[in-house]
Amino acid sequence: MTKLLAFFLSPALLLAAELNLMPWPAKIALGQGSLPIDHTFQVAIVGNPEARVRAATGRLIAHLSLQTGIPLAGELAQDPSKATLLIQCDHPGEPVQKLGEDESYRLEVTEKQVRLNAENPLGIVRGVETFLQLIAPGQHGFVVPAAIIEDKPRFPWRGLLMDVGRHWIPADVIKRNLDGMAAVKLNIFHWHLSDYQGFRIESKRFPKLHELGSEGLYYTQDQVRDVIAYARDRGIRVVPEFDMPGHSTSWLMGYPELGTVPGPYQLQRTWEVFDTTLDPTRESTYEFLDGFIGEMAALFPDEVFHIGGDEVNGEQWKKSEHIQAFLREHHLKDNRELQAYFNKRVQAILKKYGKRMEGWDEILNSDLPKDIVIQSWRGQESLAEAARLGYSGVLSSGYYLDHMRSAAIHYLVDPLEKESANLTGEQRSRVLGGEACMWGEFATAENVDKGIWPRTAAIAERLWSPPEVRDVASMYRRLEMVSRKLDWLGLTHNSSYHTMLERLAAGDRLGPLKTFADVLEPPEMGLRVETGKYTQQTPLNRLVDAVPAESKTARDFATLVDKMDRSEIRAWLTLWRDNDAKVRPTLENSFLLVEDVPLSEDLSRLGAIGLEALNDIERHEHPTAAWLAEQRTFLEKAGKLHQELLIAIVPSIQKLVDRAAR
Amino acid sequence: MTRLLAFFLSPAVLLAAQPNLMPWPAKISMGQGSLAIDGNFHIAPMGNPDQRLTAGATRLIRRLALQTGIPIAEGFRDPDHGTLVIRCDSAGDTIQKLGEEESYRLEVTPQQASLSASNPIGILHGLETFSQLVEPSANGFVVPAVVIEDKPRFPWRGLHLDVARHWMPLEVVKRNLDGMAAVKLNVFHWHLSDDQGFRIESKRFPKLHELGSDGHYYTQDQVRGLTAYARDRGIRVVPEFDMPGHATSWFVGYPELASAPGPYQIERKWGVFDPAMDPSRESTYEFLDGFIGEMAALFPDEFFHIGGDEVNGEQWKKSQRVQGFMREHGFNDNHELQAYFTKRIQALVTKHGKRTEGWEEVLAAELPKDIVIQAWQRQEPLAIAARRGYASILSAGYYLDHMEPASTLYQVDPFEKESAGLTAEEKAHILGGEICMWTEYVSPENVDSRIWPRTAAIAERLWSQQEVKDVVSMYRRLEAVSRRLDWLGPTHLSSYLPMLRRMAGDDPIAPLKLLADVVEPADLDPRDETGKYTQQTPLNRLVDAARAESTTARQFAALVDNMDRVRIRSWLTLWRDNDAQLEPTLRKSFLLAEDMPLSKDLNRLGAIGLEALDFIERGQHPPAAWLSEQKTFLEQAKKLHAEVRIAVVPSIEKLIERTK
Repeated sequence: MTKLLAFFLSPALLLAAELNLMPWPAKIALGQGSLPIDHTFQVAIVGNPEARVRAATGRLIAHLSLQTGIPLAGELAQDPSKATLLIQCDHPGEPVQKLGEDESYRLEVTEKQVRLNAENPLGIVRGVETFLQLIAPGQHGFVVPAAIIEDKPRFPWRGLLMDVGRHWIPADVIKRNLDGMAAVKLNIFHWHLSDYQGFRIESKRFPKLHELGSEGLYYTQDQVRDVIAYARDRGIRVVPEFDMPGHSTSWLMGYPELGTVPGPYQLQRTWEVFDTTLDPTRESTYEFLDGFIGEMAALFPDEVFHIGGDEVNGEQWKKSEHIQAFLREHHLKDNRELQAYFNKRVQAILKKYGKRMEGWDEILNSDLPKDIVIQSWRGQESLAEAARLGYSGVLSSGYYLDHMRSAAIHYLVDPLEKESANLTGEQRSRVLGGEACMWGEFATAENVDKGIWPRTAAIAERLWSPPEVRDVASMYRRLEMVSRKLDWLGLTHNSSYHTMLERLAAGDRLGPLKTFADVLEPPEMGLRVETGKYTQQTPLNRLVDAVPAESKTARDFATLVDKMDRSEIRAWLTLWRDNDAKVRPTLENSFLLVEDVPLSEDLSRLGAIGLEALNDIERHEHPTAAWLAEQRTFLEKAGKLHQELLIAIVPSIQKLVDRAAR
Repeated sequence: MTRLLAFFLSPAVLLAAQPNLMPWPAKISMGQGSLAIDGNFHIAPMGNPDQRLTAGATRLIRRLALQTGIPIAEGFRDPDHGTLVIRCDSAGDTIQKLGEEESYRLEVTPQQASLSASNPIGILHGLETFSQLVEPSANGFVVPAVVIEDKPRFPWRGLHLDVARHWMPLEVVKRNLDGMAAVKLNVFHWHLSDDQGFRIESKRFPKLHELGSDGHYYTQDQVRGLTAYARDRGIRVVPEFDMPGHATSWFVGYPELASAPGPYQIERKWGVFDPAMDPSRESTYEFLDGFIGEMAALFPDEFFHIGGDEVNGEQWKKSQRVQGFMREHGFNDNHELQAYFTKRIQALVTKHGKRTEGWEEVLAAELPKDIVIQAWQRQEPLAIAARRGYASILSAGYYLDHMEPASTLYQVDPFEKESAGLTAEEKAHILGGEICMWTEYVSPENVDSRIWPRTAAIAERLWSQQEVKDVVSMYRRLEAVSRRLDWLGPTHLSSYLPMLRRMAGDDPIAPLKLLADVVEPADLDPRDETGKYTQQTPLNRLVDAARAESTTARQFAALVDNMDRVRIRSWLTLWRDNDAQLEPTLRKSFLLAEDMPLSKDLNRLGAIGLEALDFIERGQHPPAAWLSEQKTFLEQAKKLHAEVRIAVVPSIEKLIERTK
């Protein structure tokens, strides 16, 4: 063992070898040769302490068959020595997956056999995904390179939040995203089940919650149990969130007596922070919550229960006489203290049902017991503060997928940097990890996968891999490969782009529209909300809804400009310059696209300017001051949002122009 | 009513102004203006005698929401507020019948659409027509004002799917039923057993599925779910259990049914094999009585397909017992023996309350007139059956695995060729046709790309008036239908890029796609001839990814016909320059190495085409030596390489012809 370990290289060095692994493992040593993968592929399981190992093997075989196109029977090998993949796991895992449960595994690939060992079935579930990522077509067949991988996560809490309150997300969409999560070794699905705009789960005890709060769009308890079992099979915990006391209008449709003001209430249709708040002063509120939490605590096995607690604006409390009287009576200074009182009451109920409380960073208050978990979303500071005060924390600030930032930006956000950098060792251990957040204002079943993938894979690497794994170029290269592999799992982040463009083109040739769309990026959620035109019922079928969060074309072009690869640069610029004429009839024919005509004109002009700049550079001529001034004014304008879209190549054109001016 | 009908134009005239409907309706009259489809879209069902109406209406709402991206609330309104009013006064038959009324009337005005039919099946078809009419306009999604009165030409419009040679999971079948409903097909012929697999659970004879399927079979609950799913979409399900040949998979569990002792293994190769049921033993009929009884109870449809094709008689010839039986009964040959078997089976099928269907071979037996003959080798048996008074359907010419283009399939008509001379009474015996998807070279991954979109063209042949046969119009509408099918779940478009990516590994796929876009797969015979295929051979090569018909090649042929020189030149340049980019990828992947000569050929085709175009543009004639050199090359480039063929060769030939 020691001899082998001596060959392990540092992660940074090994990235040079460029295996398509993501997240990058803790330790990896490449060997000589490779193991062929063909129709004789068979798995043997030794130990086999629980059904999850067999289930993971079944998924492995199915995915392998999909990925390679090789039909595989799926029967286990009886003789371990004849198996292509030998899985050994000696102990069962916890009956309910625990925070910090062992996820480590060891994968050894030789030219004869693969061995996957883990103490805990979770490690097998992780190792199987690594194995699938290693398979690539070689010159003589599909192969897995000889290697030894010893892997374990850096953080025990690696989550993805999906908001199903604002736009309804059906269970099959959740499931395919759980498959995606498992593929990149995430282990917590945070299910944001209620908000102003919808209450998405069946309550048998308080049926008016889903009957009147969901417009029929909710999960039955059977469906929830099914999703939880599906997640457990993939080594994923399910943490439910019921946001309170704010973000709660949908509860009040059926139970207005829970509200601070009498009602009646309507489901909210727009995206903002509303005044609606539960009444923290009535005992009846806590009686209701006791019943409701009791019901949900029995349905969701995980030890953590998220109560939200964010964005309580206190307007209703300020205006309510009985609330103000309650403040005086209980010597509560302000709304913040009132919410703290509410949190303590709710925490006591949770404790009664055996749950740990989790909440957004607003709930941070030293009065609460130390077993709660703080989710930092407004800034990394609260994470550090929570750790200092003795609370566990999870970072989401910097991981908001709806902000439509690049994978590179998310990738470099580290839970232990910034304000957390100078925590003591013990304090650092309270930073449990992070959670990517997919809020649902502009995410529907059709395009939510595109919001989540592939960028979430970069965040997953940050949370799993050693901190020194942070080479952005390598990340992007591997991210692309992961993105393609996710296709086989049924995720639609790649395929929906095409179908959404088809809808827009309505039968016209897709090429020119795609050339155009490929350089566009959507703005962050806030800017779209500010247009004031969106409600829950607004169709999300425009170009801004179709384009991926990050333009790969723009990124690749930026690289070409950095390298000054002139012939490639020229080819792209020519394509863009000439594209407006080709795409124009399509844009003008469709009510969904006609708004984008000015953008297309801008792209054409960007191509033309770039070509002029390139000509000057090649001829070693300097453009005139008047030309420069004109182009800079134009670039200034072209760099701004139009129809909620950004042309992502503007900075590269700017660079070319600057280079010509030098 | 008469006044409206007066405005109906002939189908040929109307194809000019056509909406993207397929199959084209029997009568259509375009009106003025259009009906807006937005978030307030509501359906008002009236009468509602059958839950299939609300199920169909709900599917339409979901489909519109998908197709348009507009969130549309599910649920129904009263007629005053409905965008689409549905009126159907009577329930359909409890089990969908052959020839059950399918007609409907759809009237769209700028205010409202109304769909009426005397039978729920007509409503289901009308809903599909309505969804095909939805298009984006300058002001939003709309349906044009129109009056459509529609009904099918033939009552039997089927799709046959072989799930035995390659296993097809239930969801594959379901998404194809959705596709069938979209083009108004009404019979799903489920080929459930063959030499290579027995795909259904038998509770009475469990060794059939336990030993004959490798674990790949449908449970009876799944089958019931599937027949209900089909019924909801106006589709009958006809099961086929192929006997007495194509039955090796039965014998793995029950070798005593065969004409030679066994033991038997599931057959892994493709072809016609010797094992056949033993028609000389009473125990065979006792077994089949029990089995057919079980399946007759499971499948509600009145028809039961007994196969009957391709019995080579080898086992019978070699069996002393069978030979003795033949002498005893005075049978002169195996045909007479099979006819005896067929009659016995037909009697069992009748006993269990079903009508028998069989492949054309069963015509050899003297059978009662209520059976249905499926003509598969040629069109002639269709006419022969009709003359003899048997109902019949056409499959010859509709074999998707032959990889013929939609234009060829589209022109095969059950009433033409040998049927043309039939009397009207004889013609009435011809019930329609069935498209056949055999799966020797088809997996769940690419089966949709073999079925769609070509099946939609045949569906039009079987539904629409005989004179609807303009190929240009068909292709234009076929493309629209193909894109629509994408929203329903068939993967004929979406499976393409992942299959190319699999072959290309980490390399960009654009150059590979350029090559793949111009090649077409070989039909099954040349693939059989390679002798290298078994059920376990991966279908993950270029031939498996390539679409049955190259759209690029078809469009390029049109450019060459119109001599659109600019666009011809740009395609030729792309092809000429592609090999340089593609070659490193081909070299790297074991799945692609065999395609290197193809890529080189495409490079040369582009170069030759450009030279020819230069000659044409300069008004010069090429030297004879150049011409003969290219001719030799083109002969070679026409041939199959790696089981695919470059589909632009004929167009390059045309360009060269034009230089003369």
